Amino acid sequence: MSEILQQLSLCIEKGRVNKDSNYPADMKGMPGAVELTQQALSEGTLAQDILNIGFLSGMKIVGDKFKDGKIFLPEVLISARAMSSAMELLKPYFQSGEINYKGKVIMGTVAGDLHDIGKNIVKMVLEGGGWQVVDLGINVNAEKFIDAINTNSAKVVGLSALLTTTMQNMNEIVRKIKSETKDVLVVIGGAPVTKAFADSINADEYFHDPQGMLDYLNNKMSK
Amino acid sequence: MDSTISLKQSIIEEIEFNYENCAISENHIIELLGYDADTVPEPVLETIGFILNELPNKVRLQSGYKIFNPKKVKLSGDSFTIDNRTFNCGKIIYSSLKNSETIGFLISSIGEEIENWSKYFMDNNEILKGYLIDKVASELVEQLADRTESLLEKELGKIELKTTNRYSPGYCGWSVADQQNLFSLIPEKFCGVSVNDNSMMIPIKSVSAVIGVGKNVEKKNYECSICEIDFCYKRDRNV
Repeated sequence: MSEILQQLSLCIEKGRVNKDSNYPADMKGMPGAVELTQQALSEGTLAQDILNIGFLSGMKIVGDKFKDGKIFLPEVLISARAMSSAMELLKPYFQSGEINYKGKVIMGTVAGDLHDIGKNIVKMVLEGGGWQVVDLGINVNAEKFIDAINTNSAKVVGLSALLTTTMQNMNEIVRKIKSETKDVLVVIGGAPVTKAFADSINADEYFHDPQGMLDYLNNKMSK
Repeated sequence: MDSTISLKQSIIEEIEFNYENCAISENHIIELLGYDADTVPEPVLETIGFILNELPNKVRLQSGYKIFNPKKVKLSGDSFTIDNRTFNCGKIIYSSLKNSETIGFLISSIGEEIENWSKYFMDNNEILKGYLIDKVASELVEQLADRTESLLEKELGKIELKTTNRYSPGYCGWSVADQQNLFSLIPEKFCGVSVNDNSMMIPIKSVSAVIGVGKNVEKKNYECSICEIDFCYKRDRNV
């Protein structure tokens, strides 16, 4: 790993956005993820390497620490913010096709449910792991999910619900997605959801935290 | 509540609290997030400070309760009935309520503006702020409900009645669908809260609960140990 990508990875891990940031205190005055990304690009580093070696390796360390209980969710969000700020600089490379996401995931809170915090956090963690997320928002019915799956040629869809009542709506949505699309994995999550419930409605997997979903996608779906 | 009032009639009270009466401390939020003063990251501390500073302008603290005339209440077979509406509260809750002479409902809400505030930051890629506002809001409404529960306990103590823990539809094995029954027995928009067809309270940051009232009921340490739901905020709050 080149020194600059190593520093970039450290900035993502520590949540250092730019040189003007006071955080973390022991990196004050040093360049942040934004400046290091600019520098790496101007020195001719491949955008794909910046993504994989700089961003994703930093987020991987953060994800592992979170999984091991060494850090808490706010620190994951701090790192994700640093990555997302620097990611702006890579947008043109995604658009030109020079770099690729690991894949595309459709996400939404199911019909009848207006909660979106949990879904938004999962989205941010997946994006931090190199996945493109098409966020359909809240109160999403089966037709809207199916339309997005077809439009985006997506192979994974994530459904979220926070209530035991709205969780029941997952049943119909999973059934329709399974009957009207081919080879699409439907995964579910949310406070009241359990593995047993996921099995009972024929969902492919259930996750109780965002990292679990990211690990699953990385293991099962990565190109 | 007038101490001369007995429970021969239903009692209903609606109260608006000042934020100062329910204020949450910075340290409390830090602990809820899993940190202590030495380990909390600076951006989290800064954001909590920002939120707590703005919070009084973003919330409206409304609470209330209704205690039913004991003649209208029946408890049997893991459920209770009020005015012919049956609440299937399940074993865990029933075992705590079973010696009650009557049942009370408790409603608390901190209003809708704070949801929009959180959403604003979420939509503008400031997910840490959005998340922490949501977290603070959830704790504030629980604290408001705690405060209301204490007030009710004190008032009922004046007529030598005690209370059980409070229990909410959707927790401890009780279906959230019973919100429909609960809200049908209180005035419309009581404390500014309504329930939609999916039994979701609007505003979202609201608490509804039942509480057992009687001479021979008691409060227990919260019974998370006998509940099967692993990932529940009440469990986090009590750990």
